[in-house]
Amino acid sequence: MSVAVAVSMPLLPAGVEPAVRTEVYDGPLDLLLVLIRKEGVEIRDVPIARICDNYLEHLNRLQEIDVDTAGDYLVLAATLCQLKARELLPRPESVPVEDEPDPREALVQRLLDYERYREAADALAARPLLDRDMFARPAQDVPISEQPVEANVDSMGLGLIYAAIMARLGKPEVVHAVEAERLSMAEAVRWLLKRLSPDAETVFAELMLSLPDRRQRIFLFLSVLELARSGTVELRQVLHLGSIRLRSQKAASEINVDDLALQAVP
Amino acid sequence: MSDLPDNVIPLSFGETTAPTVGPPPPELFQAALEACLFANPAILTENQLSTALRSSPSQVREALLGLQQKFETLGSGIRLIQAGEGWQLRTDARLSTWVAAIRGVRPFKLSRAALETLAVIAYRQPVSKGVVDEIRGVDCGGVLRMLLERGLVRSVGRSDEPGHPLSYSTTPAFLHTFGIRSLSDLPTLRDLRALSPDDAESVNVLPFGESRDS
Repeated sequence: MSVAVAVSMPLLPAGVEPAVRTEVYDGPLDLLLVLIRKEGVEIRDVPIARICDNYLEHLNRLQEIDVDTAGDYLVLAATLCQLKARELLPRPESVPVEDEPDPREALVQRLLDYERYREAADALAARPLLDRDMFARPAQDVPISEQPVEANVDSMGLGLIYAAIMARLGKPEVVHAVEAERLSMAEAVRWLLKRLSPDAETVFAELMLSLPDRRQRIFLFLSVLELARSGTVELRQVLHLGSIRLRSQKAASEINVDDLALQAVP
Repeated sequence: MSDLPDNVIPLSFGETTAPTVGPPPPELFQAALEACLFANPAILTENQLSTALRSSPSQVREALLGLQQKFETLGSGIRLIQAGEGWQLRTDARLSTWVAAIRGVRPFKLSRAALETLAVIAYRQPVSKGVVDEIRGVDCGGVLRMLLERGLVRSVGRSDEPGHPLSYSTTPAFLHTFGIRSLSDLPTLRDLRALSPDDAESVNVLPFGESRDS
């Protein structure tokens, strides 16, 4: 938006930094105001002919001006030239001077308006700005609570609530850090056979539940399959999803565990 | 889940009778206000503060003014600022250099063009880009986009001008950034109405936000 006007300067020998004086203008009205101020006159009394010449002279020196911005400057240049031309033209005798509207009026009005907004911009810039002059604590998105939460609970109550939650969740499973227990299938089969008899049925689930450890349960399960496969144990399930009942075909004493071809369990 | 142990205490929140919390004792009122403003860095309205402090807004307002005075007379680096619809603790403007250093931020900057554009929008809102361009004598598209991105202005519908261009207004963030309570607190444009009596209806002087025909 701003354009720099490089004031013409003499050629400097190589290596010498030029003392560049540039003035930055925020548009044609800004440039015009600067020129009027240089003349030391009021906006209302702007000497159109001289200001027009100055303006055009500055326009010729405008560097780094893009096409869009150039247009804005040229429109005002045309306006100024038109006003200057009108001043130079002889007035028709018939129209008294005081009755003729000042041809500069529209331009003067624009300049005065623009100057007011510039003053307003100055006034804004002079205020202590947040994050320039004043700093607030960094926003943390603290929710502004209209109704603060009131936990009507003391430390004892909190403890009771914790206990209640834990009770609902059930006892946490005790986790052992045990070195691999050397369970063997033979051992598991012997354990199982001791609990079976040819005379009565044993409920599989009860056997399972009597063992606390998951590994032991796995061995028991495999033992049941093993004994069923070898025909040593009879499995019976009356209802779909009902309890599985076990009955050994012989008395425990008659079974030689070593005769069973037990499969190795990793 | 039906076999809960007997010692389970049913959970109940909110059914217990909450003890009524009153306002802070008078000798701590201003301190409580200060603490609240410190604890929540957002811009807090008098209503929000009065809810937190269980006090009337007028009581809070009086204490806020007292607190503002206290910061100024105490030689503190903190100021209590009224911005937009509320209040906020901010650092003293004279200390900006050092505070910016500890915050590690580049200071917020607005170009001359941005300030002028903002001024036109602030005093003429709602206003179309065409009118802003006309007043400033340059195309304000780039500056306007930047102001929109920074949330200092926003579009508020379309104007009645030919082509129904978008019209723009300032935002609450504008008030917060410039530490202005409300648009009516902006200084009046000097002599604007007296300047052009015939043209007065084309220029919104004060109050702001009202349409030109009202």
